[in-house]
Amino acid sequence: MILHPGILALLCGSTIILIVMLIASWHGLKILLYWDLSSSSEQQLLLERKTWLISTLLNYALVGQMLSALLFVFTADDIHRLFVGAMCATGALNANLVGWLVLLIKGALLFIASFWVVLNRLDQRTEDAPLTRPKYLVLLAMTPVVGLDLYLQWRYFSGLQPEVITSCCGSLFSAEGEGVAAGLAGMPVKQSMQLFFGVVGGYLVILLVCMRSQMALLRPLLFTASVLMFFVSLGAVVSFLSLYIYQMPSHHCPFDMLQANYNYVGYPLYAGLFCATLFGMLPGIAQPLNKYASICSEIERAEKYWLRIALAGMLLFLTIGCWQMFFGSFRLLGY
Amino acid sequence: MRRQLKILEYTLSSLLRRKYKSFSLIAVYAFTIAVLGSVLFLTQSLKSEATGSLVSAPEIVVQRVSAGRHDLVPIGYAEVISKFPGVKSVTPRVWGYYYDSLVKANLTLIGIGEYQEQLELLDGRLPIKPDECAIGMGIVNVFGPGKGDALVLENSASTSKTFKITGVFRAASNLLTNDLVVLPEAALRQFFAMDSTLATDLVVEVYNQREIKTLAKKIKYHLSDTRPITRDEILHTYETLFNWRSGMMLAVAVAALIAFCILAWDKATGITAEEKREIGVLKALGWETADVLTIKFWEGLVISLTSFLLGVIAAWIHVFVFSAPALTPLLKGWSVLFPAFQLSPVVDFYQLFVLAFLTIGPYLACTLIPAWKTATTDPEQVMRD
Amino acid sequence: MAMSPLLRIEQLSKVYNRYRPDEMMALKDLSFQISSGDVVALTGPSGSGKTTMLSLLGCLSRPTTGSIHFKERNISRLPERFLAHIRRESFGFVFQHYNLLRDCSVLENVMLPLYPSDQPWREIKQAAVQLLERFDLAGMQRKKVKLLSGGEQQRVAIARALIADPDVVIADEPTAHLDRDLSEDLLDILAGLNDVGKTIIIATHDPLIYNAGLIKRRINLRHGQLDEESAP
Repeated sequence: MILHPGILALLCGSTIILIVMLIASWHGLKILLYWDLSSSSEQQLLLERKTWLISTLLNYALVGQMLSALLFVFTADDIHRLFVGAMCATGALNANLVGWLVLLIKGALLFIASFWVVLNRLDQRTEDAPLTRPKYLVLLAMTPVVGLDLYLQWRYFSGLQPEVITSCCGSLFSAEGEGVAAGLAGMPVKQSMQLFFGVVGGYLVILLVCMRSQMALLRPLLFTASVLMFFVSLGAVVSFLSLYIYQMPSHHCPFDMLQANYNYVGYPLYAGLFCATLFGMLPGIAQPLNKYASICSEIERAEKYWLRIALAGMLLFLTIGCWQMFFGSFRLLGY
Repeated sequence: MRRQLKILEYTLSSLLRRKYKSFSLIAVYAFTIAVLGSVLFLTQSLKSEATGSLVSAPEIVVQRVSAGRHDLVPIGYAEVISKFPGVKSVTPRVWGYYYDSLVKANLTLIGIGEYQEQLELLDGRLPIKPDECAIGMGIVNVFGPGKGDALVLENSASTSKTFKITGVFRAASNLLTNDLVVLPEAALRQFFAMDSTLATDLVVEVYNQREIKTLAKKIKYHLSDTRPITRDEILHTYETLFNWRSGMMLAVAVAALIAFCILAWDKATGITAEEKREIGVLKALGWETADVLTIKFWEGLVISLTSFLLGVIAAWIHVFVFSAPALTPLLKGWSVLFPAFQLSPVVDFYQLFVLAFLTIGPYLACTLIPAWKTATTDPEQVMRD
Repeated sequence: MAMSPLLRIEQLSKVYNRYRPDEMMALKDLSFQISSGDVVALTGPSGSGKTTMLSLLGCLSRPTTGSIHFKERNISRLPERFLAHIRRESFGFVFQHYNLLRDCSVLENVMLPLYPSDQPWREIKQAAVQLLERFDLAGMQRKKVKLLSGGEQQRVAIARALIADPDVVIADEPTAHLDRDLSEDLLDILAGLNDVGKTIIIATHDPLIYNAGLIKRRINLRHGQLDEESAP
C-alpha cells in the first residue's frame, strides 16, 4: 500500500460517491415499492419530491465519477515514478492486474450514469413519468458497480508494491509484446488506418442519414456503429493516432497526451470521442421508449440535439486526432 | 442559459444578504483548505527539491556493510571496480556528520579531493589549504560568520580546530547544501582521524546509463561485503518517503475536514425561518423544485470556489512566504538545521486537483440532502402563515 | 364570447393528514365554475376552507379527490413541476402578509416570479419598471421593501402579481392590514385590472370588499362546503 495524497483523495471520493448512491438507492427502492401515480396521497407527493432528490444525487454522482476517472489516470501517472521501469501511467496500471479493470469499470460507469441522467431529464419533462420503474431498477443495479469500483480501487492501490519492477509503456505497447494492447500497437499502420477511417466514415454516414430521416431502423444501426466506432477509435489512438500526436514512431501511450507537455490535447480528444459515442448511442437506446406516448415527443425533440452533439464530438475528435497526420511534419506511412 | 444566469444572480444577492452566515462559513472552509493545501504544497515542494538535487547525484554509490552496518570502504575496492568494463570512473568520497552541541545542530562535513561535485558557489571559492572551508547558507545563519570569518569545530579528541571560510554555497536546491561544510580531504581525514586507506563510500560513474543495474549487480557479486546504491533507487526512496509523509499528514488533517463537514451539514440543515419563508415564497410564485435546487447548486459552487481560492492563496503564503512554520517540524526532519529554509514555489495542476477533490467533494455531498429538503418546501405553506 | 369556463371545479375534496389520527377534511365535494373575466369573492368564517380553496385554485396544491380543469386542462393530477409552471404563467398572487422578500429591493421583488423563465433579464426589468411607475413606486426601485409603508408594500405585491401578465389574480385577505382609504385604493386597482380582462378571485371577510360593486359573484363556504352562491 502506498500512502499518497492522490490515492487518499480517490478512495475518499469514491466512498462519498458510494454513500450518495446508497442513499439514492434507498429512496429509489421506496419509490419502486410505493409509486402510484393515480394516488393523491401525501405519500405519493413525498415520493414525487424524492425523485428530485434522487436525480440531484445522481447528477452529482455522475460529475464525481467523471472527476474521479480523471483523477485516477492522473494518479496512475503521478505514481509511475515509484516503479522502476514505469515511464507513464501505463506502467503504473500494469503494476498489478486490477489497474486496467478499474479503468474499465470507471469507463462503463460513466456511460451508464450519463444515459441515466439524460433519460431522467426526459422523463421529468413528461406529466406521467413513464420511465419511473425502469429508471430506479437501473439505479439499483448501478450501485453495486459503484461499490465494486471502490473495492477494486482499494485492491489496486493496496496491492501496489513500489519495489515491483513493471514494464513501462515502452514494453506494453511495443510491437514485441503480447496481449491485446500490444496487438493493437503491432498492427500494420496502413490496415489500422483503413479500418479506422472506414468505421468512422460509416458512423458519420449513418449519423447524417439519421439527421434527415426518421426511419426507426436507423437508430439501432447508429447505436451499433457508435459502439464499434468507440472501440476502433480507442484502438486507433493506441495504434497510430498517438504516434502522430507525440511525433514519435514508437510512443503508443494513450495517457501521455493528457499532460502539459502535449498541451493537454488528450482532453478534447477523449471528450469528443465520449460525446460522439454517448450521443450516437442515445437514439438507439431511446427507440424502445417510444411506446410511451408522453415521452415520444420529448425524445423526438431531444434527438435533434443528440445527433448534433454526436456530430460535433466526432468532428472534434477527428480534427484533433488527425490534425498532425495531415498537417504535421511527421510521416508514418511510406517508411 | 438565461434561466441559469438569473438564478445565479438571485443566489449571489441572497448570499450577500446573509453576509454573516456566508462569510463565517467561507472563513472556516478556507481555513480547512489552507491546512490541507499547506501539507500538499510543502511535501510537493520538498519532494521536488530533493529529487531536483539528486539529478546530479552519482549514478552508483558503493558503501561497505560490516555486521549489517555501514562501514568505511577500503580504497583498494575502487581499483577493483574501475576494472569492470563500462565503468568510467571510481572516486572515493570522504564525509561524515558533526554535531555541534553549542547550537544543537548536525552538520555534514565533506572532503574534496580529486572528486568534486558540481556545487554552485554563492560567494568565494572552494577551500585549498588545510585550514580553509566552504559552508552552506544554513550554517551562516546559525553560526553567524560569513566569508572571510573563521569557523571553529571541535574534533572527537576535544581539540578545537579553526577553519577560514572561503566560500558560501548557493544551489538551485537548498536542501543538500544547507548544512554542508566542505573541507580539503586531507584536513577532513585528520579531523575525523580517518585512515588514509579508507573512504566513506565510492562514487561510480558509468558510460552507458542502461548498464547501471548490471554493474550494480556485478559489484555486489565480486565484492560481496558492499552495498551498491543506484540513483534510481534513491529517487524511489525519496518519492515513497515523501508520499508516505504527506499521506500521513493528510490523514491527520482529514480530521479537520471531517470537523468542517459536520459544520457544513449543520449550517445547511439549520436554515433560518426567514430563509425557509423565502424559499416558500419563491415556490408559490412559480419557482420549480429544480430551480431552488439550482440556487443551492450555485450557492455551493460559489462558496466552494471562493473558499478554495482563499484557502489555496493562504496555503501558498504559509508555505512559500513564511516557510510553513506550522508544519516544518513534522515534515522535514533528517537534520535539525533548517533555519529560514526558503522553499522554491512548486505547485502543479495535479496538486490543486487532488486538493479540490478532497475538499469540495465532501462539502457538496454534505449539503445535498439539506438542499433538497429546503427545495421541497411546500408552496401551500405560504398561504398559511 | 361563448366559451368554456376558465376554471371548472368538480366534486372537489381536500383531506389533510389522511388516514392519520389528525385527519382533517378541509373541503368536501365542491362543484362550481369560474368564467374568464369574473370577479369572485370567496367568503366564509375562519376555518371554513377559504385558504385551502385558494391554494387549490392557484395550483399551489393538489386535491385529494375530484378535479380542477384550468382552460379545459385537467390540472388536479399534475406533478408539482407543471403546477409551478402554470402558476408562473397564469396566476398572480397577492398574499395576506404580502410575502415580499423584506431584504430585497423593490425591483428585485417585482421581478422574482420571472427569474426561472426564459425571458431575458432586460425585458423583465423593463416590464417591472413600467409596473412600478403605474403604481406610483417609480422612485423606490432600489429601496429595500422593509423600509416601505404598508400601502406601498401592498402595491409592490400587486406589481409582483402582475409581472407575468397572468390571466387570474388571486388575493388572500388583501385588506386585512389596510385602513379604509387604502382599501378603497385597492378596490380601484382591482377594478382597473378587471377592466383589462383579468379574472380576480379574492378571499375576504371584509364587507367593504364583498359588498363592493366590483364583485360579480360571491361564493360562501361553511365547513368546507358551499353555503350559498350569489351573484349581485
